Amino acid sequence: MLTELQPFIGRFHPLLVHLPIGFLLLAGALELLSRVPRFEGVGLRRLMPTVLGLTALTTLGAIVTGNLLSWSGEYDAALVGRHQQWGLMLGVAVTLACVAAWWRTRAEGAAPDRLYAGAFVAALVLVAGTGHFGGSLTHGETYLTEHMPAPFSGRASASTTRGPVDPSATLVFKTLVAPTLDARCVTCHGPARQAGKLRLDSPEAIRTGGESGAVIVPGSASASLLVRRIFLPTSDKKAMPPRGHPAPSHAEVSLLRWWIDQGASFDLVLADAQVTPDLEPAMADRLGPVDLGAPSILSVRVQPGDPAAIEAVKALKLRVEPLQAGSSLLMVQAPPAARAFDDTALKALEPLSAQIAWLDLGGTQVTDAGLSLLLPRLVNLWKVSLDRTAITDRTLLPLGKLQRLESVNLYATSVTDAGLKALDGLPRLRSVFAWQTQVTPAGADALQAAAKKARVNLGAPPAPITGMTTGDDQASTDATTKKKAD
Amino acid sequence: MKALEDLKFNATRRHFLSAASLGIGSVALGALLDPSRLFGGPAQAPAGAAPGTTAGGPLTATHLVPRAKRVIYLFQSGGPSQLDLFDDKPLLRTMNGQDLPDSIRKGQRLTGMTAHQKQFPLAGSHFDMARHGQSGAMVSELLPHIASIADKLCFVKSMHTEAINHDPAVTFVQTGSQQAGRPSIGSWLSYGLGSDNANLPAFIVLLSRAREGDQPLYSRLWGSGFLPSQHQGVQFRRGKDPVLYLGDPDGLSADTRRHMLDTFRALEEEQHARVLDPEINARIAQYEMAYRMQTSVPDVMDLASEPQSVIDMYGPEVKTPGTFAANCLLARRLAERDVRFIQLYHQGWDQHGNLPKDIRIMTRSVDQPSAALVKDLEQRGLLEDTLVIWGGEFGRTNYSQGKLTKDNYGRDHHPRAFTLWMAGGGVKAGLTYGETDEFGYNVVRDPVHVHDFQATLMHLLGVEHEQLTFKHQGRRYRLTDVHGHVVKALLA
Repeated sequence: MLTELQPFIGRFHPLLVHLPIGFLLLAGALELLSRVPRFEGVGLRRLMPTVLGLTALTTLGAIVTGNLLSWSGEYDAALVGRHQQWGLMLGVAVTLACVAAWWRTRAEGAAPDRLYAGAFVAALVLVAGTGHFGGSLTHGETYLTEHMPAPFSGRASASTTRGPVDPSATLVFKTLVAPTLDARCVTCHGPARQAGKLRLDSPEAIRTGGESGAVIVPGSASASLLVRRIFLPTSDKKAMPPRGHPAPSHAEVSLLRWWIDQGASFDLVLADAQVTPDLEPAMADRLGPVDLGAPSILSVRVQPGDPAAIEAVKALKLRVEPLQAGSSLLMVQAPPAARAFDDTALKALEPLSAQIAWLDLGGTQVTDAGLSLLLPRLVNLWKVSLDRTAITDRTLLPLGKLQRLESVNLYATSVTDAGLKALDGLPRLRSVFAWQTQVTPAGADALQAAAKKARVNLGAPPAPITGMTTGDDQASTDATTKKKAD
Repeated sequence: MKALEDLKFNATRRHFLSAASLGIGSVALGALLDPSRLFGGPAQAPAGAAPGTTAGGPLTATHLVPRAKRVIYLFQSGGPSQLDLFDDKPLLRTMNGQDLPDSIRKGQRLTGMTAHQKQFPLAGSHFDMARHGQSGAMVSELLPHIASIADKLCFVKSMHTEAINHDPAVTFVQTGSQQAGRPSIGSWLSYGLGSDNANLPAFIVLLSRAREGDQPLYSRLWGSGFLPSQHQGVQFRRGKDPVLYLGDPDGLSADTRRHMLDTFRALEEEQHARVLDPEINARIAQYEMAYRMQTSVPDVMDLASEPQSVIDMYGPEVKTPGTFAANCLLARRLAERDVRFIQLYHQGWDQHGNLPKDIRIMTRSVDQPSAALVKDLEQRGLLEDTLVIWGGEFGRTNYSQGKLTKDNYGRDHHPRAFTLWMAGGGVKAGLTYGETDEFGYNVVRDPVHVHDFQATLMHLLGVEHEQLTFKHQGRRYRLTDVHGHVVKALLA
């Protein structure tokens, strides 16, 4: 019988706890009033044993129901334990205060006064603490501090930390999904409380699921419990969040669904995700305005280049332009008129080495000697064209250290497979152009195997199709493209 | 003479603040307008006034990182039949000869050429289509080379336009307005971004045709409209003299020519100081450009340095000047020299009748060179920042114009849906975007209006289409007028 009634009665705890709080505060108010001259002699003091007695009784009720509730096991054991301890101490303090008040009405003296004052103050402190721990159990530990003004909370506000977003370094789960779960779910499904034996506060816990099994089906949001429960009608008792709790916004849910549909990977980065335009406003809510089309290099912040140095480079007939308006990163390109540009002139680029992101020296007179001095300094190099120059493998060595590099044009140079190996470790490498070089298909394959995203172009095959054919799926030029029959 | 008199009044008004000395007042006003100049900061070159070799346009930096630095627009003039090339509609074959349902036509206006028809017999394509590449893009058997590079292309099957006849439709695609007089896309870019190669125009036009008797083209399609006229497209002709009157006459030395140009320039500048007509600057710029083109154009045209294997890629017609193939190779050579906007027009797609036969002539002329251009650009690394566009001014109807027979049909103009493809320059490779209904008549998913296409093109070049404007007759104009949305889904 008791086991059946236990959860029913236990859930009266959140109701009952407010009574001792109220009575205790009333007692405090009466105690203060009794010291005001106007109320002297009214006999407020004689009320105290009754009020404190009611406090003690309701505290006892709260303790009993609270214990019953804690047996459900949905709550964080440590936090429940502390709440219980404080609650019991509160019970003792209130009882002592009650006894002392009664004693005081019987016999004037220092002893009951001291006991009374001590127990009363202790009860007030304990009720605040117990209440706070109880609140943390219900609403989550961060509930109180969530909207605390930045100067007090000790953390910078979200808007100031919003910098340019680097889609290749932005984890989809962490930035777009987890904040929703933290705000809407973790209170009941987190460290403080595990309703339905479910926690949603860590990747492992989300993978594990709860009482009803797995909550996510990677690749299918509509089959995932986490999403289905959100879409149940609010009248359904399984609807999440439960009635009365703030529901996630449409944008938050669409991001959640999209993440699950994308495979629910916790390591997925924004750059690798398929983003449809309708998700962009939702993303902007979380990340600030984000242009996913914008190359990640834009997230690099550098000091503006020295204007005198820029003028000096322009004087060599090179084009120098910012990557885009407002960016300090530079595009430096040798137009056809600057074909005579050579190693000595290359020195003019050195003062701008932090700023140069896009360097096109195709068809110029530069050689290994000059480039092996300059290239190691270009830490923010993003695209480089050295096609139709006299460079050899020596120039590729420093390129292998430039972590931001995405595109390397080497066509019509004498680089070889051995030189290409230097690019193996580049994490962002996308395209290498090595037509009319010593690079062999095997060398291209080796690089493609080492740098997963990279594609090496060795030129178009000489005679693709002779006559008109139908449905003939010709393999294309790249070494990467696999033949696939229709 | 009246017009010249007016110019004088024009000049005095403008001189009032700028040229005439007004002492401290004009200095203060100047400082208000451009504080950096007050203490002798570097003056910016006024927009449009770019005599000589000044390269930069009014945009000192692009609004966005340019994904494309240049464009090769393979314009298929006349309106290629999307239903026979890319947009496969099996239903049209099963319903061959049946009337187009009114529920599909929905009152779409027709041209004068089919408006009188009592029946609109649906015409299924005579050509097989198949999915190609890993992307599974649908391409007709007529275009085997283009099919072979399907994974490099981005097909937009949901293009739609407002015009239904050639002239307004081509004008609309090129200038954003159906009525003549606005600048062409290439002119906008030449004006906005300037030239990357001082020795060649930023906007070059090449013409070809594979069939006679098709719709005409006219130079205003590559005109600069109200922009300074040095931004107009320069047409390279087929044959010995790609640009007429460029060479010096026999017996005229280069020194004499230079001397003549310097004197001419001094005279023109004197005149400009008097009447302040910006067209005078444009004229000086054009003379200087012509002088530099005396050496740069022969260099572009000289194919001696092209390896045989590359020439072979473009197909047998590449050796005949003025063919689409020859123009494709030339376009690649111009792209290598950083020409901003290279516009090819290929005429002959207007197949109102006799389509099954005529379309073969057209596809044979464009298929191999188009694919070769993409591959050739790619192997040089140029496709990274060159946008290639292939498409016409509108599509063609799903019903036959004139009599539908067992082995013949024609198709009328159709503005509600057509297909174009793009490659390189920041568009998503291997994407097929948008969809038409099963009759191929209406767009049912992801429509792309011509203004959207133009906005996207500008976006790829790093230009916000809403921010490149030119004030003319009291109002600011832009390529997309007051329309256009960047189609983000097409961006890589």
